[in-house]
Amino acid sequence: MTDPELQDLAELWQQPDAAEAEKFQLLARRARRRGRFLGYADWALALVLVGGSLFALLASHGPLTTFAAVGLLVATIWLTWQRRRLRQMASTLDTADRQAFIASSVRSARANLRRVTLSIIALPPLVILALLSKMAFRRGGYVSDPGPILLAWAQSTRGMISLAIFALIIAWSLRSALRIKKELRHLESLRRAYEEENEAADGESG
Amino acid sequence: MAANGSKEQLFAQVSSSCTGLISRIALSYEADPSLRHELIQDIMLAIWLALKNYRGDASLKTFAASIAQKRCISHVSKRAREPRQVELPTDLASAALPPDEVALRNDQKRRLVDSIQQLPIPQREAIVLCFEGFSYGEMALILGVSTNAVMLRCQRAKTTLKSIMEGR
Repeated sequence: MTDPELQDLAELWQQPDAAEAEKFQLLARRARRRGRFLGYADWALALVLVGGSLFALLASHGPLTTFAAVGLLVATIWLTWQRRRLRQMASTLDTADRQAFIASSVRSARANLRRVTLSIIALPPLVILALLSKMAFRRGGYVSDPGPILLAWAQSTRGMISLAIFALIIAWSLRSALRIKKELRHLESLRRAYEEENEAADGESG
Repeated sequence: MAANGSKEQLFAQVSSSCTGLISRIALSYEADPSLRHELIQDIMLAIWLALKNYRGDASLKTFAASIAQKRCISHVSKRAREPRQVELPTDLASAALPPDEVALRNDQKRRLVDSIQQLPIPQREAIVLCFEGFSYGEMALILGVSTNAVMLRCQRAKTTLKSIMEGR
């Protein structure tokens, strides 16, 4: 490819696109709003936790309390997730070259995989443990034969809804784990592509 | 703190002067318009976050291109499925041209974008920056390699691009 050909392609590539430019401004404004909001995520999380604790201390039990508790839980999870995502994004942006960038991305992906794997392993025993604790608490601190009690709970409406939710969480976590593994494979092939590119450049210059 | 002006001013500057640059870098990695718009928003958020560390060592355009390329690589790595082949819009070229000229330019641009999207990522980064008019020195800064390595990578990218375009 000659330089004039390249120049033609560059002109073709740089053709302005009015519709895309308009959309871009909208996306930039949205990103700035999100960035501003997330800048206060640490404070928002602290506020939610302190507010939630005070509410739990002062409020009496009822449907409104349950609704508020669910809301607080969702807000806490969402804010924590957003903060983690921002931390991971910031850590990869600080890298100088592609090798360091890929290494940083691999570290983030591996940390995510560890977290997801841990939740898959820990969730079922934790659920059983929580159920047994609750039943033991209701029966004066002792459960002689937990099997039939757990079975009866699983057959109740509340038990079936809870089990369906736990199954969904496990399925979602398994899906996340598969996606992260795929991401790690992509990153590994990218690392090889950069290595090959560097070797080819070294070969041509040497 | 950021070197030239406040974070808000710098962000406004990036938003107004790097519109085409960022959109086209995103286009070289993502053909699906809705996913591309998500990617652009992600890039702009990353720029917003990174601006606090901007010291003015490089131009704002170089800084924005560097962040955009990194976010695009992350996007490609996280993509669950292989990219869908999406037909590019029919109005890519300027409407000021005669209709037959517009159709021809559209077809050429579509072929060019498709071919760029098929390049290996290291070469894609280099050729896109080359098309965007960055000097080899600026490209070396963005890619984190030596100027010599950038020149060789651009040369390889041009050769691969040519073979893809001729093979289509």
